[in-house]
Amino acid sequence: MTKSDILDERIRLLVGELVGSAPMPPPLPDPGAQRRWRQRRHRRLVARSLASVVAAAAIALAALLAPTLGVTSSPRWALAGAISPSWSQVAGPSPTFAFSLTCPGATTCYAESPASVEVTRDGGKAWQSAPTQGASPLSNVACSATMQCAFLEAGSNGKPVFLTTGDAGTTWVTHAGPAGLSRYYSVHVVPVPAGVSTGPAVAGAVRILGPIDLSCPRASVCTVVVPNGAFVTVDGGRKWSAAAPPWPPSLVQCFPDARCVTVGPSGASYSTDNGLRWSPADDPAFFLGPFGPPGGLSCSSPETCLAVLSPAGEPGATLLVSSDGGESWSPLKVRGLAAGRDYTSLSCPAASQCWMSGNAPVSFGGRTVYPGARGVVLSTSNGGRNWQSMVLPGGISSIDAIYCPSTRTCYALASRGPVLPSAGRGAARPSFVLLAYAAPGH
Amino acid sequence: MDEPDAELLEKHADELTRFATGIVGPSEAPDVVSGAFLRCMVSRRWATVSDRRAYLYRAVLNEALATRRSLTRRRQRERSAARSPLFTQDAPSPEVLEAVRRLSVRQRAVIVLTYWKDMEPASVARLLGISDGAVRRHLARARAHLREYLDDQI
Repeated sequence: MTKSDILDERIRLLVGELVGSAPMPPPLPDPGAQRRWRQRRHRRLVARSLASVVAAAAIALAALLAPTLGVTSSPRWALAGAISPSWSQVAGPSPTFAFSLTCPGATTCYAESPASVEVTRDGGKAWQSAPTQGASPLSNVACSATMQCAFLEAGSNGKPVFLTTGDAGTTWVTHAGPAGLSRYYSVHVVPVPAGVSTGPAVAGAVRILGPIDLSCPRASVCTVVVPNGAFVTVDGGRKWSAAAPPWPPSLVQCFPDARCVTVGPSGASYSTDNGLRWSPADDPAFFLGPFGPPGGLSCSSPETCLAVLSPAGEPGATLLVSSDGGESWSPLKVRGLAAGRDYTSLSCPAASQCWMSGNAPVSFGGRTVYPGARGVVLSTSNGGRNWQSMVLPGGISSIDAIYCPSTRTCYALASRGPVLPSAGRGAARPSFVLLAYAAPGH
Repeated sequence: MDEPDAELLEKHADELTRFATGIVGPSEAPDVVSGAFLRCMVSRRWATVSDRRAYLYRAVLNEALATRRSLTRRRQRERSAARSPLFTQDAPSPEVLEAVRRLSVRQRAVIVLTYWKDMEPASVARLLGISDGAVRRHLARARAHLREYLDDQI
């Protein structure tokens, strides 16, 4: 054996050991989900740090010019209250944004971030943290009634946990979550600047590999959708069944009659048995794509649904409407939706009445900074064909989610202030606030 | 994602993860493969690509190149934080990592395909979309670096 052969053999062993340490292949990505997730998080941080000053000026200018331009200044949105101070005191990178809002009652809302779930029962004045036991929430809070809600969190041992409440978030009962869900998130350590105290939620931050959405039409019935999969419980979380929708689902909404509707970047599906079996929707509308994950899905009834999708990797919106419980979808011709906005959430308390949140681009130094710094709320009263911007309180940098428990009441989850490096090697965090809207005369 | 795409990615996920592990190590490999998959699927060229396996290999290599740029900084940050023992995996020995650390990303790719997949330089060249000469150059330099390191270990 020559020296060259010996070297080859040693290199072969070395490469073998290296390649042999390969982890399990990653789950197949949803073509838009991961990318949009990372882009949205990254761009929001960039936008907030660069454009907050410009945004504040733009908002002030818009408020000044609004009467001149004929923009209706009433009814207005009002600041309802700052969401739990703990959100702005948590060290490390989370939470730098919130991801959903659920308001099952006129004054009860749950706000979710990657670090905690907060609940208010008085329209946003006082907030209480859900007992997440140091683990990160994985899903939105889903409610079957004002008092009965549930959400998923990452267990400290990597196994998902399902929490339910029957008293509007005062106490929570813990169950095992669907075991297969673990495949769709991973726990990783988040670096924390020296000298900054950390909470357990930061040390065990969760990286979700795709959107995880939860819908609970009844107290004991919940459906979870993840990229390429779904899980259903019909006994309050004691047992979970796995299901496989034909299209990768991003958002789900289910009804007490067992109908469920999902939409994802490449298609829609529906189920008539709480999500145990799925059928592909007749959805020629999706050939308009490619789309990123939908910005919102809202069904005002088991028949009527509206979905907003963004082009893959780009801001903007296409609205799809279904009038047969998600079995077929068609694109909606709309007016009033400006191009280039990133639409984050949709809520339709009635077939004709919907609200949508989004973030508009901001110019900075002659360049357009990604949406995320200037939140907008739009409303429609004709099922989504015409949209009108609403006036928001000053200082809002982004709107992350919107939820309207009725046609007369709406809440929006917003952030104020930029993320800027501070002298203390930490970062100035945006504060999260709840905006409330009440229809005139209400 | 249409079904043929899903099948194709499932089929090659394991070998691409191993290929990525040979270039960036086990902790970064899943992210690199995920990133490569996503880039392929959103690429306008993807629909017209004839040799999709080779295209995926090149996408993994490109993603690894991009990842490498931010890897050093990230490692420095993460070194200060302890990993949860629940999520450790079979890591290669420090000697192996030290040996590979001396190679460029392209040299790693060529070495992995040559010694793990037993591919000839011409096949490696076709797979990675580079010239036969470039493969031989990368291979020769990688072997020289490794010889130097391995000789020092004796």
